Amino acid sequence: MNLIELKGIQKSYELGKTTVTALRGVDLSIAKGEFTVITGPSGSGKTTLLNIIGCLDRASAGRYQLDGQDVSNRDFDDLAGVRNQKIGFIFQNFNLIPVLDVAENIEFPCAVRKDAEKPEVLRQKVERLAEAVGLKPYLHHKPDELSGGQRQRVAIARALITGPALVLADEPTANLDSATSEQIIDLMLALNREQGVTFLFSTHDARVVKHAKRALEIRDGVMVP
Amino acid sequence: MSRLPRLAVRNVGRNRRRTLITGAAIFVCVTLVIVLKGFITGAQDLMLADVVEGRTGALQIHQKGYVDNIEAVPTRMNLPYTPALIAKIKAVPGVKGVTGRLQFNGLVSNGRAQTMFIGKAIDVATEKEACPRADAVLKPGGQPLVPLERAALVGFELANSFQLAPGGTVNLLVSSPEGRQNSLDVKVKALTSSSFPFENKRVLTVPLKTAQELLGLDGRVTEYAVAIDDLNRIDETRAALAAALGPEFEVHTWAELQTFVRDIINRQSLVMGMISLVLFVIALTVIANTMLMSVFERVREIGTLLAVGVKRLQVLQLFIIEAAVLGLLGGVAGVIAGRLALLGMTLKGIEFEMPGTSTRALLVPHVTPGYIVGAVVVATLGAVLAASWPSFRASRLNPVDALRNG
Ligand SMILES: Nc1ncnc2c1ncn2[C@@H]1O[C@H](COP(=O)(O)OP(=O)(O)OP(=O)(O)O)[C@@H](O)[C@H]1O
Ligand SMILES: [Mg+2]
Repeated sequence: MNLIELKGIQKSYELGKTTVTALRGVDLSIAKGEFTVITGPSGSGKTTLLNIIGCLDRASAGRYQLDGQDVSNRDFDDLAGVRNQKIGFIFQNFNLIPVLDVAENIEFPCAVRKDAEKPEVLRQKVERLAEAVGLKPYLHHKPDELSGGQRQRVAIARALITGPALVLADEPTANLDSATSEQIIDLMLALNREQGVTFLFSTHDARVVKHAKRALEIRDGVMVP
Repeated sequence: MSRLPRLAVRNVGRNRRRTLITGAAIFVCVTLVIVLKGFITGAQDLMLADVVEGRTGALQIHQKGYVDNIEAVPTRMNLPYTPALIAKIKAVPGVKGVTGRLQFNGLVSNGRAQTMFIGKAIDVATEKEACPRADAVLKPGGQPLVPLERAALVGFELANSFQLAPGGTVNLLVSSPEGRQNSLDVKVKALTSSSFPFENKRVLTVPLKTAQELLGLDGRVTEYAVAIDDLNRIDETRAALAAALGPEFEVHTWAELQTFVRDIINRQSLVMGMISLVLFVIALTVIANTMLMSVFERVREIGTLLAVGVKRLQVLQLFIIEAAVLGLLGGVAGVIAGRLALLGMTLKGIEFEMPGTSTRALLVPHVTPGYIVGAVVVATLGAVLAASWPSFRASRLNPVDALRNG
């Protein structure tokens, strides 16, 4: 069974009297362990699609099954647990929490749980992940003391701490220079290869597409066959 | 246990300037309220002591109906002044001391002129049991009253207009309760000065025996003044006293007898309340403003929290806790500063002029521990109240818009 099953997903926004349609019937299946890239011009609907897949937004029409559960019509707060346990997010602008240090940022999705593990247990997990993303020496730095590439590594570790079924990355390299972008893509590829993490990410950048095992294109809210 | 609250505490320290402004607003308001309250309590204590310990006693006992006719100084409404009745009063729990008095009026004359006077006859031996601070302020050259002497203390303005001086004699003319005229020459022992101008112009103080003789009221008084152990339990003691004495007697509190002092105290408390309210509203406005700014500044962060699975209710809690911490810190700091300021003033001592006279008293500002705890609680709850709308706004943010932002 596929991890993600989208059928006829549509999304439109009401802007006053006009309706903007961002997605017009997207069908998409993603299997466990895949490494998928979605490309498309600006405004084609990449962010909208990723937000729906990440349960941050709800489709106007269509069916969405995540890991065998139908999540199409569930309410936002009801899906907090799904977001927390099944999905990891990586953003274009990192979105780290400035008052927390690297270790605290990484453990954050686990630490906010009602039944959070003991700090020592969690800290071990954090250290293993920091090692994997190459941040071991920076655990007690604040985000504003890090470079863009290092910040994105923190975000990747944060996305992985919960052991999610799926990691969503919306243009994770858009704010990085090309050398750093390559490193970040390599890191994600390695994590996919070695730990079997399922990645779905969007990009403008044709150069990163060549690394992807599976590349999809979206245009005007529909997948290009 | 979720460790989200720690984030809230960190966020307080995040924007130092904003935290300082908010904290300072709470701090200043709480400090002001504590200092003001300390002063007013100190002033009220002075007034209360002046009245309760210096004039009326905490409670007074009269014949039933006396207080309704108090303007007429009705000597026909009198009570026996016997050891048995005194013992009965003293036996009531909460009663500390008791004395008898005779209030009367009449005409005072120096042989050439005559004027109306109010007579206060006191049991010189026991007056201080009921009113420990009942010392009349004597002008230089005077002597205090002695129990069995036919003598009087005369208000200094009355004495001056009648050219009376210590050692001189004055004639008192009164009507007995049965309407018989009676007069007596008494020796002027001293001139008195009081914080009530009326007492300087009109009042003569005489030993109880002298008044009883003058009025033909041997062994009688018009009132008992009673001191009690605890002013906070005055109503209890009053009820016990009334029950012990029965229906021919009436028992009143100082507040009922000195309504104008009570009104001053009530008015001060009201003004205090209004000032506190204004300060409270100012502090709330500042906090609400800061929290709203804080929410706008952190829109993307809130989006991130929602994305990693923090519930909306938790986002609300986050901001509420942040405000509560601010309120608590500002409140505690304000209370400490207020207490220190009061302490400093107490050490120096504040001379306070009783209204209308030159009598000076030392004002000791103070606040109760309960009030201090209350101030901190109100500051904290106020901060939470002020933060509730901004926090609610934060918790309702649309995560997609919040993350797109910037
Ligand atoms: N909240 C919104 N309200 C109105 N229209 C929106 C909203 N979000 C997205 N859109 C519209 O939906 C369409 C798709 O936007 P989306 O952000 O998904 O594109 P994108 O492929 O991510 O673009 P980019 O590469 O610039 O990030 C656009 O036309 C956009 O203007
Ligand atoms: Mg986008």
